[in-house]
Amino acid sequence: MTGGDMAPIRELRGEEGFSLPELLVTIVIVGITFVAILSGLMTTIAVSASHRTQATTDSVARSAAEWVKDNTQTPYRTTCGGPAMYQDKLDNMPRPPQYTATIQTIQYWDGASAPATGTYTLSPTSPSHILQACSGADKGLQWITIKASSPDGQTSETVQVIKRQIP
Amino acid sequence: MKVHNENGQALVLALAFLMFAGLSVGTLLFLGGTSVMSSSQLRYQRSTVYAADGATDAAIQLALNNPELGAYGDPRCQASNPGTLASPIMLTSTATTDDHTVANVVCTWSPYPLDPDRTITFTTFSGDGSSPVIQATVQFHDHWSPVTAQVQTWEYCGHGTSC
Repeated sequence: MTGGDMAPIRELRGEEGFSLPELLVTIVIVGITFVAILSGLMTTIAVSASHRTQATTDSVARSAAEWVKDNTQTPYRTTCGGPAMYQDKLDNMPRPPQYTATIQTIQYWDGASAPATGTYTLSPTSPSHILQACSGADKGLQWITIKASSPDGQTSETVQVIKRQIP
Repeated sequence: MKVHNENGQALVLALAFLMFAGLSVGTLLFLGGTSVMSSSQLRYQRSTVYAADGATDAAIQLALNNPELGAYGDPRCQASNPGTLASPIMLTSTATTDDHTVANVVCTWSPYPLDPDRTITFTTFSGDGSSPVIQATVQFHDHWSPVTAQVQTWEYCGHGTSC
Protein backbone atom coordinates (compact mmCIF):
# COMPACT_ATOMS: atom_id res chain seq x y z
CA MET A 1 0.00 0.00 0.00
CA THR A 2 1.49 3.31 -0.97
CA GLY A 3 1.25 6.56 0.90
CA GLY A 4 -1.04 7.95 -1.79
CA ASP A 5 -3.62 5.18 -1.14
CA MET A 6 -3.73 5.66 2.66
CA ALA A 7 -5.48 9.02 2.74
CA PRO A 8 -8.86 7.91 1.24
CA ILE A 9 -8.98 4.86 3.54
CA ARG A 10 -8.43 7.03 6.64
CA GLU A 11 -11.08 9.44 5.51
CA LEU A 12 -13.58 6.59 4.92
CA ARG A 13 -12.89 5.13 8.35
CA GLY A 14 -13.31 8.56 9.89
CA GLU A 15 -16.77 8.95 8.31
CA GLU A 16 -17.83 5.50 9.54
CA GLY A 17 -16.71 6.34 13.08
CA PHE A 18 -18.71 9.58 13.23
CA SER A 19 -21.93 8.06 11.81
CA LEU A 20 -22.40 5.66 14.74
CA PRO A 21 -23.09 8.28 17.45
CA GLU A 22 -25.14 10.19 14.91
CA LEU A 23 -27.30 7.18 14.27
CA LEU A 24 -27.67 6.45 17.97
CA VAL A 25 -28.75 10.02 18.68
CA THR A 26 -31.11 9.87 15.71
CA ILE A 27 -32.68 6.61 16.88
CA VAL A 28 -33.22 8.03 20.35
CA ILE A 29 -34.76 11.23 18.99
CA VAL A 30 -37.02 9.40 16.56
CA GLY A 31 -38.07 6.98 19.31
CA ILE A 32 -38.98 9.81 21.66
CA THR A 33 -40.84 11.53 18.85
CA PHE A 34 -42.88 8.43 18.05
CA VAL A 35 -43.82 8.01 21.69
CA ALA A 36 -44.89 11.67 21.81
CA ILE A 37 -46.96 11.31 18.63
CA LEU A 38 -48.64 8.14 19.86
CA SER A 39 -49.48 9.58 23.26
CA GLY A 40 -50.75 12.75 21.59
CA LEU A 41 -53.00 10.70 19.33
CA MET A 42 -54.26 8.59 22.22
CA THR A 43 -55.05 11.73 24.23
CA THR A 44 -56.89 13.26 21.29
CA ILE A 45 -58.93 10.10 20.75
CA ALA A 46 -59.82 9.91 24.44
CA VAL A 47 -60.78 13.59 24.58
CA SER A 48 -62.83 13.25 21.41
CA ALA A 49 -64.76 10.24 22.76
CA SER A 50 -65.39 11.97 26.06
CA HIS A 51 -66.51 15.12 24.27
CA ARG A 52 -68.90 13.18 22.05
CA THR A 53 -70.54 11.60 25.11
CA GLN A 54 -70.72 14.98 26.82
CA ALA A 55 -72.25 16.65 23.78
CA THR A 56 -74.86 13.89 23.40
CA THR A 57 -75.75 14.10 27.11
CA ASP A 58 -76.06 17.87 26.80
CA SER A 59 -78.33 17.41 23.80
CA VAL A 60 -80.54 14.96 25.75
CA ALA A 61 -80.72 17.44 28.64
CA ARG A 62 -81.80 20.24 26.30
CA SER A 63 -84.38 18.05 24.59
CA ALA A 64 -85.76 16.96 27.96
CA ALA A 65 -86.01 20.58 29.11
CA GLU A 66 -87.88 21.55 25.95
CA TRP A 67 -90.12 18.48 26.23
CA VAL A 68 -91.08 19.28 29.81
CA LYS A 69 -91.66 22.99 29.14
CA ASP A 70 -93.78 22.31 26.07
CA ASN A 71 -97.43 22.38 27.11
CA THR A 72 -98.43 20.24 24.15
CA GLN A 73 -96.10 17.35 24.96
CA THR A 74 -96.33 17.83 28.70
CA PRO A 75 -99.54 19.57 29.80
CA TYR A 76 -99.28 21.50 33.07
CA ARG A 77 -100.51 19.45 36.00
CA THR A 78 -101.71 20.99 39.23
CA THR A 79 -101.88 17.77 41.24
CA CYS A 80 -98.69 18.50 43.23
CA GLY A 81 -97.58 14.95 42.54
CA GLY A 82 -93.82 15.40 42.61
CA PRO A 83 -91.36 14.15 39.94
CA ALA A 84 -93.61 11.26 38.91
CA MET A 85 -96.12 13.85 37.70
CA TYR A 86 -94.22 14.43 34.42
CA GLN A 87 -91.84 11.46 34.25
CA ASP A 88 -94.33 9.38 32.26
CA LYS A 89 -94.46 12.14 29.63
CA LEU A 90 -90.68 12.51 29.59
CA ASP A 91 -90.28 8.77 29.04
CA ASN A 92 -92.00 9.23 25.67
CA MET A 93 -89.25 11.58 24.48
CA PRO A 94 -87.08 10.14 21.68
CA ARG A 95 -83.43 9.91 22.72
CA PRO A 96 -80.26 7.99 21.85
CA PRO A 97 -80.28 4.38 23.11
CA GLN A 98 -79.50 3.91 26.80
CA TYR A 99 -79.29 7.64 27.56
CA THR A 100 -81.61 8.55 30.42
CA ALA A 101 -83.50 11.70 31.34
CA THR A 102 -85.14 11.84 34.75
CA ILE A 103 -86.97 14.51 36.67
CA GLN A 104 -85.16 14.87 39.96
CA THR A 105 -87.28 17.43 41.76
CA ILE A 106 -90.33 19.61 41.25
CA GLN A 107 -90.59 22.62 43.51
CA TYR A 108 -93.52 24.98 43.72
CA TRP A 109 -94.05 28.72 43.81
CA ASP A 110 -95.67 29.96 47.00
CA GLY A 111 -97.74 32.58 45.12
CA ALA A 112 -96.57 35.48 47.30
CA SER A 113 -97.31 38.97 45.93
CA ALA A 114 -94.60 41.32 44.71
CA PRO A 115 -93.44 43.90 47.27
CA ALA A 116 -94.37 47.55 46.64
CA THR A 117 -90.71 48.34 46.03
CA GLY A 118 -87.57 46.27 45.65
CA THR A 119 -86.69 43.08 43.83
CA TYR A 120 -88.69 39.87 44.01
CA THR A 121 -86.28 37.01 44.67
CA LEU A 122 -86.99 33.57 43.32
CA SER A 123 -84.82 30.58 44.20
CA PRO A 124 -85.10 27.26 46.03
CA THR A 125 -82.72 28.65 48.65
CA SER A 126 -84.42 30.43 51.54
CA PRO A 127 -86.20 32.87 51.61
CA SER A 128 -87.16 32.75 48.00
CA HIS A 129 -90.80 31.84 47.32
CA ILE A 130 -89.96 28.38 45.97
CA LEU A 131 -91.18 25.52 48.17
CA GLN A 132 -90.42 21.81 48.31
CA ALA A 133 -94.13 20.98 48.38
CA CYS A 134 -97.33 22.68 47.34
CA SER A 135 -98.65 25.27 49.76
CA GLY A 136 -102.34 24.52 49.34
CA ALA A 137 -103.12 24.53 45.63
CA ASP A 138 -100.58 24.87 42.83
CA LYS A 139 -99.91 28.57 42.11
CA GLY A 140 -99.04 28.24 38.43
CA LEU A 141 -95.22 28.03 38.52
CA GLN A 142 -93.09 24.94 38.96
CA TRP A 143 -89.30 24.82 39.31
CA ILE A 144 -88.22 21.54 37.68
CA THR A 145 -84.77 19.94 37.86
CA ILE A 146 -83.96 17.42 35.11
CA LYS A 147 -80.89 15.19 34.93
CA ALA A 148 -79.62 13.51 31.75
CA SER A 149 -77.04 10.71 31.99
CA SER A 150 -74.86 8.80 29.55
CA PRO A 151 -75.17 4.99 29.29
CA ASP A 152 -72.06 4.38 31.42
CA GLY A 153 -73.21 6.93 34.00
CA GLN A 154 -69.88 8.75 33.78
CA THR A 155 -71.32 11.89 32.25
CA SER A 156 -74.40 13.73 33.44
CA GLU A 157 -75.93 17.14 32.85
CA THR A 158 -78.45 18.89 35.08
CA VAL A 159 -80.78 21.56 33.81
CA GLN A 160 -83.42 23.58 35.64
CA VAL A 161 -86.51 24.98 33.98
CA ILE A 162 -89.49 26.95 35.20
CA LYS A 163 -92.82 25.74 33.88
CA ARG A 164 -95.68 28.21 33.79
CA GLN A 165 -99.33 27.31 33.70
CA ILE A 166 -100.84 28.59 30.47
CA PRO A 167 -104.64 28.48 30.54
CA MET B 1 -13.90 20.11 2.44
CA LYS B 2 -15.18 19.36 5.95
CA VAL B 3 -17.95 21.95 5.70
CA HIS B 4 -19.35 20.48 2.51
CA ASN B 5 -19.22 16.76 3.38
CA GLU B 6 -22.27 14.76 4.55
CA ASN B 7 -21.33 14.39 8.22
CA GLY B 8 -24.28 15.06 10.56
CA GLN B 9 -27.01 14.82 7.95
CA ALA B 10 -28.89 12.18 9.91
CA LEU B 11 -29.01 14.46 12.94
CA VAL B 12 -30.33 17.33 10.86
CA LEU B 13 -33.03 15.04 9.44
CA ALA B 14 -33.95 13.81 12.92
CA LEU B 15 -34.22 17.35 14.23
CA ALA B 16 -36.43 18.30 11.29
CA PHE B 17 -38.61 15.27 11.98
CA LEU B 18 -38.72 16.18 15.66
CA MET B 19 -39.92 19.67 14.79
CA PHE B 20 -42.58 18.32 12.44
CA ALA B 21 -43.79 15.84 15.05
CA GLY B 22 -43.86 18.50 17.73
CA LEU B 23 -46.01 20.73 15.55
CA SER B 24 -48.34 17.81 14.73
CA VAL B 25 -48.82 16.83 18.37
CA GLY B 26 -49.26 20.46 19.34
CA THR B 27 -51.96 20.90 16.72
CA LEU B 28 -53.78 17.75 17.84
CA LEU B 29 -53.76 18.80 21.47
CA PHE B 30 -54.92 22.31 20.52
CA LEU B 31 -57.86 20.82 18.60
CA GLY B 32 -58.77 18.64 21.58
CA GLY B 33 -58.59 21.66 23.87
CA THR B 34 -60.77 23.73 21.55
CA SER B 35 -63.37 20.98 21.50
CA VAL B 36 -63.50 20.88 25.30
CA MET B 37 -63.75 24.67 25.46
CA SER B 38 -66.61 24.75 22.97
CA SER B 39 -68.45 22.13 25.01
CA SER B 40 -68.01 24.21 28.15
CA GLN B 41 -69.21 27.33 26.34
CA LEU B 42 -72.27 25.44 25.09
CA ARG B 43 -73.13 24.41 28.64
CA TYR B 44 -72.82 28.01 29.82
CA GLN B 45 -75.05 29.20 27.00
CA ARG B 46 -77.65 26.53 27.84
CA SER B 47 -77.72 27.53 31.52
CA THR B 48 -78.02 31.19 30.59
CA VAL B 49 -80.90 30.72 28.18
CA TYR B 50 -82.91 28.40 30.45
CA ALA B 51 -82.37 30.68 33.45
CA ALA B 52 -83.53 33.70 31.41
CA ASP B 53 -86.46 31.73 29.97
CA GLY B 54 -87.62 30.66 33.42
CA ALA B 55 -87.18 34.09 34.97
CA THR B 56 -89.24 35.69 32.20
CA ASP B 57 -92.03 33.14 32.68
CA ALA B 58 -91.93 33.77 36.42
CA ALA B 59 -92.15 37.53 35.86
CA ILE B 60 -95.21 37.04 33.64
CA GLN B 61 -96.89 34.90 36.28
CA LEU B 62 -96.04 37.42 38.98
CA ALA B 63 -97.51 40.28 36.92
CA LEU B 64 -100.59 38.15 36.25
CA ASN B 65 -101.21 37.81 39.98
CA ASN B 66 -100.38 41.47 40.77
CA PRO B 67 -102.52 43.84 38.64
CA GLU B 68 -100.57 46.94 39.78
CA LEU B 69 -97.25 45.54 38.67
CA GLY B 70 -96.09 47.21 35.47
CA ALA B 71 -98.96 49.71 35.40
CA TYR B 72 -98.13 53.18 34.12
CA GLY B 73 -95.54 54.83 36.43
CA ASP B 74 -94.95 51.72 38.60
CA PRO B 75 -91.65 52.33 40.48
CA ARG B 76 -90.71 48.65 40.14
CA CYS B 77 -90.45 49.10 36.37
CA GLN B 78 -88.66 51.50 34.05
CA ALA B 79 -89.90 54.02 31.48
CA SER B 80 -88.00 52.52 28.54
CA ASN B 81 -86.17 49.32 27.63
CA PRO B 82 -82.67 49.28 29.12
CA GLY B 83 -79.67 48.25 26.99
CA THR B 84 -77.78 47.01 30.04
CA LEU B 85 -78.90 45.81 33.44
CA ALA B 86 -80.01 48.78 35.57
CA SER B 87 -82.16 49.32 38.66
CA PRO B 88 -84.96 48.89 39.46
CA ILE B 89 -84.83 45.13 38.93
CA MET B 90 -88.24 43.53 39.09
CA LEU B 91 -87.27 39.90 39.67
CA THR B 92 -84.12 37.87 40.30
CA SER B 93 -83.88 34.10 40.07
CA THR B 94 -80.93 31.95 41.08
CA ALA B 95 -80.54 28.37 39.88
CA THR B 96 -79.30 25.68 42.25
CA THR B 97 -77.29 23.85 39.60
CA ASP B 98 -73.49 23.86 39.89
CA ASP B 99 -73.13 27.13 38.01
CA HIS B 100 -75.78 29.00 40.10
CA THR B 101 -76.87 31.00 37.08
CA VAL B 102 -78.57 34.26 38.01
CA ALA B 103 -81.20 35.89 35.80
CA ASN B 104 -82.52 39.41 36.34
CA VAL B 105 -85.75 40.69 34.85
CA VAL B 106 -86.34 44.38 34.23
CA CYS B 107 -89.83 45.50 33.28
CA THR B 108 -90.93 48.50 31.27
CA TRP B 109 -94.20 49.92 32.48
CA SER B 110 -97.28 50.07 30.36
CA PRO B 111 -97.05 53.09 28.03
CA TYR B 112 -100.78 53.82 27.91
CA PRO B 113 -102.11 55.29 31.20
CA LEU B 114 -105.76 55.17 30.17
CA ASP B 115 -105.69 51.67 28.70
CA PRO B 116 -107.51 49.16 30.94
CA ASP B 117 -104.97 46.52 29.84
CA ARG B 118 -101.28 46.54 30.72
CA THR B 119 -98.68 46.07 28.00
CA ILE B 120 -95.38 45.28 29.71
CA THR B 121 -92.01 44.57 28.15
CA PHE B 122 -89.82 42.21 30.14
CA THR B 123 -86.08 42.36 29.43
CA THR B 124 -84.07 39.55 31.00
CA PHE B 125 -80.33 39.66 31.64
CA SER B 126 -78.05 36.86 32.69
CA GLY B 127 -74.37 36.59 33.54
CA ASP B 128 -72.66 39.97 33.82
CA GLY B 129 -75.78 41.82 32.63
CA SER B 130 -73.96 43.59 29.84
CA SER B 131 -76.51 42.54 27.24
CA PRO B 132 -80.08 41.21 27.34
CA VAL B 133 -80.86 37.56 26.67
CA ILE B 134 -84.63 37.70 26.16
CA GLN B 135 -87.12 40.46 25.52
CA ALA B 136 -90.82 39.68 25.73
CA THR B 137 -93.81 41.95 25.34
CA VAL B 138 -96.94 40.74 27.10
CA GLN B 139 -100.42 42.16 27.18
CA PHE B 140 -102.39 41.58 30.36
CA HIS B 141 -106.15 41.77 29.92
CA ASP B 142 -107.01 43.24 33.29
CA HIS B 143 -110.64 43.90 32.44
CA TRP B 144 -111.22 40.21 31.80
CA SER B 145 -112.13 37.79 34.53
CA PRO B 146 -109.92 35.99 35.24
CA VAL B 147 -107.05 38.23 34.11
CA THR B 148 -105.14 36.64 31.24
CA ALA B 149 -101.69 37.17 29.76
CA GLN B 150 -101.10 37.19 26.02
CA VAL B 151 -97.50 36.99 24.89
CA GLN B 152 -97.16 39.30 21.86
CA THR B 153 -93.44 38.93 21.18
CA TRP B 154 -90.71 36.71 22.62
CA GLU B 155 -87.26 37.42 21.19
CA TYR B 156 -83.92 35.87 21.93
CA CYS B 157 -81.38 38.67 21.68
CA GLY B 158 -78.07 38.36 19.91
CA HIS B 159 -79.16 36.02 17.11
CA GLY B 160 -79.51 38.69 14.50
CA THR B 161 -81.94 40.47 16.80
CA SER B 162 -81.06 43.69 18.56
CA CYS B 163 -83.20 43.96 21.68
